[in-house]
Amino acid sequence: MSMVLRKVNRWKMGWLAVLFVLVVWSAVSLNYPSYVFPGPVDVFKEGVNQWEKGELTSHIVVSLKRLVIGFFLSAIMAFLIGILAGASRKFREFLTPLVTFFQATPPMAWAPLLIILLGLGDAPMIAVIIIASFFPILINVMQGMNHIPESHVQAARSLGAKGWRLGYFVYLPEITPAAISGIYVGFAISWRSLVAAEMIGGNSGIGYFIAFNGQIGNTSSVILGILLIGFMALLMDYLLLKPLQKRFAGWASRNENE
Amino acid sequence: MSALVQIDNVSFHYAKDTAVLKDIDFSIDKNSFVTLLGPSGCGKSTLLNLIAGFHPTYDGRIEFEGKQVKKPSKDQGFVFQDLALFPWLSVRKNVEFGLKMQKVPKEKRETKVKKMIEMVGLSDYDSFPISSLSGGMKQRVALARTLVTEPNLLLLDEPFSALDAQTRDVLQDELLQLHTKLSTTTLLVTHSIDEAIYLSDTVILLSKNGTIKDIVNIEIDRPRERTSSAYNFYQKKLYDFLKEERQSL
Ligand SMILES: Nc1ncnc2c1ncn2[C@@H]1O[C@H](COP(=O)(O)OP(=O)(O)OP(=O)(O)O)[C@@H](O)[C@H]1O
Ligand SMILES: [Mg+2]
Repeated sequence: MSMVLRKVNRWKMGWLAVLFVLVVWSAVSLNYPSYVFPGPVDVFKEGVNQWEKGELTSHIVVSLKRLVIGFFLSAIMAFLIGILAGASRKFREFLTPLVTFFQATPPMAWAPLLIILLGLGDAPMIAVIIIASFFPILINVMQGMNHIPESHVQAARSLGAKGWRLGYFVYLPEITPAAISGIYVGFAISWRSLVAAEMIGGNSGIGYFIAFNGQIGNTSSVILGILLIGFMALLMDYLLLKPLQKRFAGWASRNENE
Repeated sequence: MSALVQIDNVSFHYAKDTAVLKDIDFSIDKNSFVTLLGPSGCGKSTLLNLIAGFHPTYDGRIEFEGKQVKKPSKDQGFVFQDLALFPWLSVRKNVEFGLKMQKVPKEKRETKVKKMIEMVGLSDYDSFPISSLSGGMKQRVALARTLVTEPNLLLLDEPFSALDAQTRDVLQDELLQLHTKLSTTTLLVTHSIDEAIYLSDTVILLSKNGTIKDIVNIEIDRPRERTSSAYNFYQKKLYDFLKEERQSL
């Protein structure tokens, strides 16, 4: 019962924050003509307008499709390579300088090259997402591998686990909590990088939508685009990441509460 | 009776270190209950790990069921000092793990697991996560997880050392009951003189320097009375041994 109450309370505070932003935004916007800095009502109207035209929806769908494909590919590769690197010291030593190098380069910096190499469509955008999210996930998977208690592996082996079964039934669950932290970080970086890449060299996607409307001076649509970016990140968090964490890494937070 | 485990002239050192174990010789008879007793750091866990096949390179010879030990065998069951239960699995799934790895068909697996969980008195908790159990319950799960695979040799590394005295007494009795019922040959590592005398047929005394000091057969009928004079006789004997070990530091 008290948990339900706490939940309601948390939601209330969340809505209060939204209300606060709306009030400040309205107040500031009153000092400007609406074509320079539109207020909430103008942006809402623009949203309805765009919704009816349908173009914006297709930009959103394009961006989300890229994100999901790129992220999925990246996570699978990072898991496989991270497990191998955790298991083999030589491979780990080989990877370390590469990881450091790629970690230091902003994923966005690759976009111009990738666009020249791969054209204007989905491919360079998916590549940016992979570059942005692969390394955070990889690093976390490797760390997870490092922290597997030796006795868990020994116990599993003495119970008859070996080969891929040892990997699938022991290593994989052991590293999942760490990997999911990596997925969180990777998700945030890749979503931002994707939008930025679409802004500088795309012909579709939510980033392109913002850049295009900026050029034609449609400030209402620019703000609408920014809001949608944040809103979609929230949505992904609630619909995808949180359930993923709960399902596969819930046991780890339970242990912390002990 | 024939020996299930035969250890001849075994010495062992960790990489670069000096010898942890020296010239170890003893055997474990089928169906017997043997205890390794010795001061902290004398190499009890190391010896247990050697028998379990976790350290494949050692001097001398260790045989289990007539074959030299080189890697872990599913015919041995190991309960670790830290239990090593899998925190992402429920009680039932933990107990089921070994059977699943050994590809026992699902139906057979389920009946065995159910029976085993009943045997350790955890039927009401079978879907609980490990983190929600008390220390004694975790201990029971660890024991069940190992025993359900019907190992021919049960290796226990200080299984009860983290428990309060009452729970420990209860679990010692339960372990004895399981040992009698399943007649699983058991090798137990302990610090506790009382535990060694209460449970075992034979106590192997390990010295600080990694050698066997003495092998003592406990000749008291079961169930053993902790206040009997025979019990006290062995208590004094083992106590003197540990005292001597402390003074030889
Ligand atoms: N993995 C290891 N690498 C190097 N040295 C080790 C390792 N494990 C144990 N040792 C050393 O070997 C010796 C014996 O350790 P072991 O754990 O077998 O003792 P123990 O009798 O089980 O002690 P305790 O009763 O405290 O558990 C100790 O000096 C310890 O420091
Ligand atoms: Mg030990």
